[in-house]
Amino acid sequence: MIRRNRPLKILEFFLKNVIPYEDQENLAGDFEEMYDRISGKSRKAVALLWYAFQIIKLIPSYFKNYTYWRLAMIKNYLITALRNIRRHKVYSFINIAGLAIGISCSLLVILYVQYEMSFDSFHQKADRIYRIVRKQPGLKFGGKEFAAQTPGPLAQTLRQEYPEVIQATKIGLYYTELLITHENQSFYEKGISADENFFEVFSFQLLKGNPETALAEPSTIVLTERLAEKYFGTEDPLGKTIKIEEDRDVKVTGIVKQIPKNSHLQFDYIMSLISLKLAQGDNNYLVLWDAPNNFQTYIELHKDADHKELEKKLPAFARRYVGDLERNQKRQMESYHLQQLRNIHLDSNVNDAISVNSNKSNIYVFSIIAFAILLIACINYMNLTTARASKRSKEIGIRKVVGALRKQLIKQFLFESFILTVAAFSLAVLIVMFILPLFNSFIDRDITINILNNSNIILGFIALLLFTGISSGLYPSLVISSFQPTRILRGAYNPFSKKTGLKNSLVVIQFCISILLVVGTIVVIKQLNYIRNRELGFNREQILVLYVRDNAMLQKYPLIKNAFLQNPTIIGVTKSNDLPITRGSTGQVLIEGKNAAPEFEFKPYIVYVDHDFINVFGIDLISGRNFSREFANESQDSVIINETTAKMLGWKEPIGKLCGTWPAENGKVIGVIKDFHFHSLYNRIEPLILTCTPQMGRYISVKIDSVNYKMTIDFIKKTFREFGSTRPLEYIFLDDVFNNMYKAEQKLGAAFNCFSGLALFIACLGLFGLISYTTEIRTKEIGIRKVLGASPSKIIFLLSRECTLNILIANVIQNFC
Amino acid sequence: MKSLTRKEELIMLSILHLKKNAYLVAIVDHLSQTTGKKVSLTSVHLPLNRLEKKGLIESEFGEATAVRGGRRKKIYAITKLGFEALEEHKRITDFLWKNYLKYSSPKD
Repeated sequence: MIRRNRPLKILEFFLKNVIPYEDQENLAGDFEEMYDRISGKSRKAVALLWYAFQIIKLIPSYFKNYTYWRLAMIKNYLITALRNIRRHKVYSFINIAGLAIGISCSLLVILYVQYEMSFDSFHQKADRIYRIVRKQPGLKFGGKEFAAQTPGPLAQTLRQEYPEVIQATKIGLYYTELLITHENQSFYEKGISADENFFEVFSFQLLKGNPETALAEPSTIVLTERLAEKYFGTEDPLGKTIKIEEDRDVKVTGIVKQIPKNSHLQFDYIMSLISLKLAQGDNNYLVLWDAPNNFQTYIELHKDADHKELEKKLPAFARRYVGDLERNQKRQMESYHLQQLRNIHLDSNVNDAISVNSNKSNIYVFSIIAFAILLIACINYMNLTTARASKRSKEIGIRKVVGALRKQLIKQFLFESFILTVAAFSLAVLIVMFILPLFNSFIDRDITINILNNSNIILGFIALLLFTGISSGLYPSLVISSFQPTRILRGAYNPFSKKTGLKNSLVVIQFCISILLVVGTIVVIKQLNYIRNRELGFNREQILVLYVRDNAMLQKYPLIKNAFLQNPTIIGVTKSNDLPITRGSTGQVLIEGKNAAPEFEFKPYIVYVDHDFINVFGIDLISGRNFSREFANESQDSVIINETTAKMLGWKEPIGKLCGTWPAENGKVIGVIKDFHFHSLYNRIEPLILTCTPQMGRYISVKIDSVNYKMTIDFIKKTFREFGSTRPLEYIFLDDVFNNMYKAEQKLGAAFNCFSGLALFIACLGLFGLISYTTEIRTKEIGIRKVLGASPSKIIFLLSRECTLNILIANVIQNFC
Repeated sequence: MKSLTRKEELIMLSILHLKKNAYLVAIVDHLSQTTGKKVSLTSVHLPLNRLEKKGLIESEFGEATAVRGGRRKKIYAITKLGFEALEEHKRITDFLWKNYLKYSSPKD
């Protein structure tokens, strides 16, 4: 045999692939002959090089050929696909509508998730800004261990001690709500107070005014665009004065651009924090470590600084500054931690009064639901397309006979599913554009669909398109391309008459998902009902709560109370510093025989009330007595505790025990009230102490016994005016306060309702398609059955048996879940 | 009728010369021998395809040899249309050459 040289196998493979199909055999042969000749004449490497070079030379023509034929085929696929869509309008509608709904849910969720993640990222230095949070060991306030409130001097001290802290700013929990008066206008507004470094750390844009000095002086204020326009109209507010709380003039030193909704700090004005000095003198909370921790501290780190390194130094720092205080007060050591600015919105779970945060579980829940709905829509497409494939079996047979490879058929059907997906996608974008304003007002955000400046969203959309196209088209294309042409073309062969197992199980999956969502909805609704109807332990109906800021009015409270009680529709009036359902505050107490023990840590919630608190709110007194006007020294001598307090202290007979707290430092327990929920129902009932301090508190709660609230409210307003109040009356029904606490649950309920409705709709749409198709192909069978005497009910049973069975199975599976 | 290029002319003439053995490698060999220059496979293959598309030549598969890795040869032959094209080409060329000879006749 002739010894001959052959080129490398791998090169041969490449060559074969770049040569046009019709030339493959002869050209490959020619090349090999040449190769053999060259390798005979010179070294093998030369021949190999020559061979490889031939391949490279062929590549351009390969691409030309490739695209030419590809385009030709795509054109053909497009024509067939469009023809199919047009010819079977109902099925196309089911497919496109289902996919469009599924995709628009996913689009909304992508936009929502993206928006939630974008919180606070508009600050230029967002990556380097951290919030300081304080951990209070053993003290879980409202169920949370961390608090964003920190001492006043913290910001500046951190900056002085650590070079990596370039800038620090603090936001005070002061001036958070102000009555702002200018000329004839007078409204309550919500805002914050901040120190002069605020605009250096955060990138809120000042439209007018100097960012360095705007907050440097006492009695200055920066307004947002909206407020400036509200009070000043077209005038330039800069340098003008407005009145706050009816007694102080403050100068407007800046106008800040409207705060984006994806900022965790929301405010309408910023008061200069140094204004506190006017109210408190030199020794104010700004410089005292031993003061209420009423400041939020934000620091800006150096580019190269590691926040973990800094965090390690903070325990020592805390010992140095607050260690003594804590030893004196026998408190456990507090510690400071850093929290990235961008994580605040989703990942904070701290107590603080400024921002209302969301959490990650919302994002997960909605992502999963949207994915589930999309899956249902994809399954619709899969089922309908495979079921109806027999209609197209002739086309496929012919294609195969003419020489289509299986690969090409798969491509064709994937392409078809992509066309449908793109159509559905465009429809979905329209739906989303239409629905977005509604969605925004529902979740209180300002999400926009400007995808151009956000690569994440574009990527998300593309991924969604690919996922939908492939997941819905892959299975049908694999099945359809596996047809045997001979059997198809012989006729009367339905390749799917027997393969119904997978189709049925897919339907079962669809209904499992739908039912799961319905179950979720029912759970949420039940939860809501439970919350609404739950006995809280006090009466929350027909109670109007007035919030009084005006100290002059508070001093006239006894007179006002009497005036109120003259009105027959008002049956009770009480004043307290907290409502039974607001968060309240905790305090130190002196407990008989317990405080000597060093490990004793007991911080009950303390509410300062007047004599009628228990009556107006209808709280049950278990033992002992209520505060009484007959005893002159009630506020120094007596406290009332709840059952939990008694239980936690181990008191069987609590009456008469020492339980001292300000102002009743040596107070004795005179009564025990039944436990009531003064927090959200998610928290367990905590210990509570009531003290009789009618001089404290700004909440006046009025129990009304009338259907005509409006008249009573008018009466209350009139009475306030008669007593000399010039401010607008702030009032709310206790019921509304309560409902606002569970707004998140209500929204979740509504969202679940909506989503499960959609899921069921799509699943039913798919089932309808399947059944109507099977009915169509069984027309003859039904005809014969009827001729032979089958009753219509039997036929209905016959047709609906299968799908009823599927739904039944789905239900059974659900029951086991 | 479209006129032939020089390359096409040479290739068609080579096919005529090679008769039943007119496949790519043989044509390339023949051309490089007659012109004395190196001729690459692709520079012949592309015109061959073009001529075939125009209908001037036709092809059929010939025998396979071991040296080709068992692959068959593609043997080319001139069609009737091809002969007509060649004749036309020759007529034009001859006519032009005649004139050329007239003008470049020996210098007296």
